[in-house]
Amino acid sequence: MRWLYLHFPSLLLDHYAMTAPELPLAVSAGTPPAILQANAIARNAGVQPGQALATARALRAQLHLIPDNPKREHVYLREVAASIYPLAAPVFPWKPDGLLVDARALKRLHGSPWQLERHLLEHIRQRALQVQSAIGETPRMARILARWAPDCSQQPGQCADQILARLPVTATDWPESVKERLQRMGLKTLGQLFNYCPSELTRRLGPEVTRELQYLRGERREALDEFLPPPFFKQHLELLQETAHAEALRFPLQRLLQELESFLRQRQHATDCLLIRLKKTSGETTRLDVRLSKAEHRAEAFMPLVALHLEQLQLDDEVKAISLRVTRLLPLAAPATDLFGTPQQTHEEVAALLSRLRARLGEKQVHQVQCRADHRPERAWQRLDTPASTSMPASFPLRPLWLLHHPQPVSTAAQRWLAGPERIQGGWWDGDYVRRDYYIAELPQGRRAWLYRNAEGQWFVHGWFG
Amino acid sequence: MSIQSISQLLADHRIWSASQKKQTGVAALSSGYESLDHCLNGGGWPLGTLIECQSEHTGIGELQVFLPAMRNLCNRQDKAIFWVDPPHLPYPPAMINAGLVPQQFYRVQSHEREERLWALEQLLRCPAVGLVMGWSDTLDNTAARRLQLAAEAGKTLGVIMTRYSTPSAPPPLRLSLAPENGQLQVRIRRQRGGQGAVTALSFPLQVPL
Repeated sequence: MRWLYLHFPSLLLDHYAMTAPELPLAVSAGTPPAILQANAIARNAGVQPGQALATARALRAQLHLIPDNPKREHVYLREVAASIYPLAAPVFPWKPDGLLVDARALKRLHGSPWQLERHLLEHIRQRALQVQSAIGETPRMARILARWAPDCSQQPGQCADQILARLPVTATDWPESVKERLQRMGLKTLGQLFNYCPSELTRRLGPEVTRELQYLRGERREALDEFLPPPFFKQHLELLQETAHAEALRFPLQRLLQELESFLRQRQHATDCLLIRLKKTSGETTRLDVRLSKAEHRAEAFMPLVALHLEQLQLDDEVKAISLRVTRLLPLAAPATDLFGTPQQTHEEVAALLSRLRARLGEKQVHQVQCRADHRPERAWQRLDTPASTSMPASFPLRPLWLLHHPQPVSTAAQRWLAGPERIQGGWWDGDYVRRDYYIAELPQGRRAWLYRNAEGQWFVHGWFG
Repeated sequence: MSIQSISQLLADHRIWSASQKKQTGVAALSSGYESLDHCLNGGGWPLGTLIECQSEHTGIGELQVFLPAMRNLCNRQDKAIFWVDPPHLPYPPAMINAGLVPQQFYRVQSHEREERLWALEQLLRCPAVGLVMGWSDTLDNTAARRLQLAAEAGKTLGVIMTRYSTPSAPPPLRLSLAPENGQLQVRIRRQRGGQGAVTALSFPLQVPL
């Protein structure tokens, strides 16, 4: 069996560099803190792994330091796994910074393991990630080669076993104490270790080392956890430079939306609901609920709506991270292209228009109305977003086109009585009892009103005949 | 002052003769009232032209003027109708009585003037929208110009109902409504390439109780 291992030496750095490619960056870790990794710009200034922070800062004044965060790194690793999943499944993430791909399972799709490697590297480099890769007979062998001799496997002719045999024992994942004892035993390279008597090794170092060697040589099968892509989209973007300008969030959001587009496209899904969370330096989070009237999958359709939300946004604090979450995935409808297809297009245009209006004015500010089965006039209608009630009569008694939300007391005398009375009585079942006599009358200035007299004999205007 | 011959007078481009009704290339939608269509240049409500309709009060039958056009749009052409900031709730049972489809109507509520203008512009610019009606106390110079440009771009039918008119900068078609002896007087104050006119429409209550 052939395995391809992808090693990502600087996941955290690459992630931050996405939003700020031109800044010197370094990851710091340990007590006292020291430089763990540095990007090319910082390295050119002389920043080296292992340096104290003060030294690094002296070498490059604007150096941005990122604290090491294994949890975040794992999240980014899973993001990378999700992005290559459509090209190469199954994928096995290897904490904290590697991905293992079963090349034999992908033989029919990609051809030889080296072709697979080329396809995957191409895809990963498009995402501006640093990567080292190697192909090996066993998962552990591929891992060691990728980490310590990534360039050797570029040539198919070279024997991976020979390269492995030449690597030092320190290339393994064993504890430091074991490595030290091996060196004291005079075993410097893996090749020497392979030739050593296994029972002697077990006696001196315990069964773990022998077991590891068996894994490495394929005498024992590795238990691997397969990566399962999440059923929804969630991505998180840390901003290197905190910003309080909503306008400055456009670029990182555009990036997230493009990731979303490729996620949706690969799965042939669309969505009508995005949730954007802006995490601020104060620890608070601002939520932006972006809703679309029609499910979409293109970044260019999401962006104008997101921009409208950003315009409305009042940022009182600096934003340090953005996350985008989409849980509502709908099957992607193929665009209807019928020969005389104007109606379809018309509905799409109206749907896009509704999305824009709702994004700017608010979700509740644009709505439709429909009838509702109730005798009381103020309850005989409802917004369309509520589920439709039972069948409606085809016609109603004479009603005004304008209904007042709150009936107003009548202040002037009616000039002409046109119709009435019509008694409307009901509502004893839900505590909102109504007993009214409705009339239609002409009030001064020629206004035709729908009036009622309640049980107490008071008069109110309830509607106008517009 | 010398006496000019009629031909000289006619040659003056400032003089416009009423007999030469300019045939505007603008498409029109029949208002549904023969007397009104006759007065409107183009034979109906012009598309792509902002219509200002001034009426001081609601409840005088101001919606009736546009009802036949709305019926035409939502039943025959299956187009959406938007009402921006109407003064009261459009009542669905009455809409059904009037032969309209309530599901085709969208009610848009804005918080302030700038938002209302923005929403109206967006709606007028969209050719897929059948009719845009907006309510506002007045329609000022800049707003009228912005909305007129949007209406021209979308070729939509746009009506702004105002309470008080600003005579300084009226939109290309301006009407005023007033009730008189149980009828509704529709005055065409100004229209492009046509004359002002007065016509009376009457809307009896259809169903006696």
